[in-house]
Amino acid sequence: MSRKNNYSAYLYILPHGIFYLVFIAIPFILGIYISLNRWSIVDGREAFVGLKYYIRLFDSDFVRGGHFWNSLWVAAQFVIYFTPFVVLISLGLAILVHNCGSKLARAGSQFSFLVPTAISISIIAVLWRWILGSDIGILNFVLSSLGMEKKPWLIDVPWAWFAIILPTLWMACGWNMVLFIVGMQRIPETLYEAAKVDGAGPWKQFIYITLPGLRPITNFIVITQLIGAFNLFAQPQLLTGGGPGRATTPVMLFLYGEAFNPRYPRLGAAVAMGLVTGIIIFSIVAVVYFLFSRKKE
Amino acid sequence: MKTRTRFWKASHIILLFILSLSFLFPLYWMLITSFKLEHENSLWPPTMWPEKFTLENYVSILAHPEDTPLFSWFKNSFIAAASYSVLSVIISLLAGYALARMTFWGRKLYLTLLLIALTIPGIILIIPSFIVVDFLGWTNSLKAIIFPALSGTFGVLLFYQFLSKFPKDLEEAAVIDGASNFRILISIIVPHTKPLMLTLLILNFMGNWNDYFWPFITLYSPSMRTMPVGMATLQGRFEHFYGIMTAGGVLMAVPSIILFILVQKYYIKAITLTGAIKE
Repeated sequence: MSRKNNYSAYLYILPHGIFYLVFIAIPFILGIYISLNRWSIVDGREAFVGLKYYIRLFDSDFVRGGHFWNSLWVAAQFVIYFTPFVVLISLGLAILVHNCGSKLARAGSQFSFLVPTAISISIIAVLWRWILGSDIGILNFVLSSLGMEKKPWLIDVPWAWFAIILPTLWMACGWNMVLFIVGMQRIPETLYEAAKVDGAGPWKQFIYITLPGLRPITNFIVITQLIGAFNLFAQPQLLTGGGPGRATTPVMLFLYGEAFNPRYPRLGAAVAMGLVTGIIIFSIVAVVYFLFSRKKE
Repeated sequence: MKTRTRFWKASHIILLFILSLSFLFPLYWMLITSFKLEHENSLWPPTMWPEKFTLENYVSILAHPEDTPLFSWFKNSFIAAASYSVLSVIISLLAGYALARMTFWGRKLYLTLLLIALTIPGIILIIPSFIVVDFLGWTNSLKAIIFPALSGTFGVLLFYQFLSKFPKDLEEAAVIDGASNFRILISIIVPHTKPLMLTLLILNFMGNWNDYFWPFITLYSPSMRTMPVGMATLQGRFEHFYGIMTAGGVLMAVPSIILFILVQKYYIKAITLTGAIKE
């Protein structure tokens, strides 16, 4: 085809381009500007404050700054607790489903593991609040019939962490299991046949063929779950209310409270904190990405 | 030897069966609670089957449309998810087509912009996007749920990737015949891209249908809410009335589950698609 400029291309790009401009490019630049101002949703810009909202975050006398760093740490804790579990359980389910000889069992279990991924997080949270209730919740009934003590799932740490992690695993594992299964299907059958000829048992085949073959998809799952986990919001909002105290208030929940506080909406400060958070998340993801992809060689 | 492998096969299936039941149990528990009278929920030990089967909870939630307008929530969710998913597929296909099949100044630049957008953490854009939406006067309207997400870059990159690999010969014959770009798109590209379009449509529909955070901050009057936001408000409205809350949960989860069953094949394909984009 000709190398000249095809002007009709711009027409095809235009619809997406407009939305990109209005809802990505403008918010990005506007966000930097807002963070330098006292801003109200009604009046817009109220006063220029420069870097005050950023500098203040490092002032130990500034109480909400402390709350902000705490909420970032809470989000990081969730990432640390949740990511290994979701990767390992999804991988376990994928191994079980992928290697099952019965077609019916494979289809049925895949269906059961995937149903929760199709339901909205708010329905899941409200449902699990009922399951995890301290006095009459079914999970505590199961525990006590196994001879264990009831746990204050929604009220006290560390149990509140389980209350957030368990429903999240329930809704996330099926999705990642599918990704692992696809990863397994992509490993050439000939590799396994060659290994069998060399006398390698199932365990050795798993260690030397399956696991290395799954590395690219594992990198992808770790990165996406990491990013998703940092955005934790609905589970603490609806299950633990962010408590006890601020123990399960992650950064999204905290920023929501800052920006949309009905009496003192602090948009400028919240946007500044959002930017700082974004830079931190980006750096962590970049480091993890770099570490994982370097190991490949 | 033979009985041993048979034993392992059977235990494998039994293990999967137990795991499947434990994944389905929360849904069973939601369903069963919704048919119980409220006082039965405080019984210890809990009853695994309703002592007295009742529809009272469903009546309570459906009979108060001024308070819990479930039908409006359903309608809002449907309009938003359908409009968003259809528009996003069209817009992404158009842009992906141009990027993959045409030469023009700024092509590389736009691809770079798409990749940049993919790496910007969402938390940076949420509050500024809200301010833009508010400036446009779109808060508390379905426009807020339909349009901002059309800026998403995943679909564009998906079509770009797919169409870059698409063989050029078919198209060249059409060019010689004097067919316009649009004609080529409709008569050659679209028929070959249909499965991908359908998969993206389902992924975007389900994503929008189940989305909670963004509708939660942009829709505030009771009749404008989508189902996920409505569900969250039930928790405040009916605190400790688990029968009513689970009845609401059932009514709102059932459409998602039916849809999931209908499109399961495409849903699984959609999941694998999310892992398909690599730079």
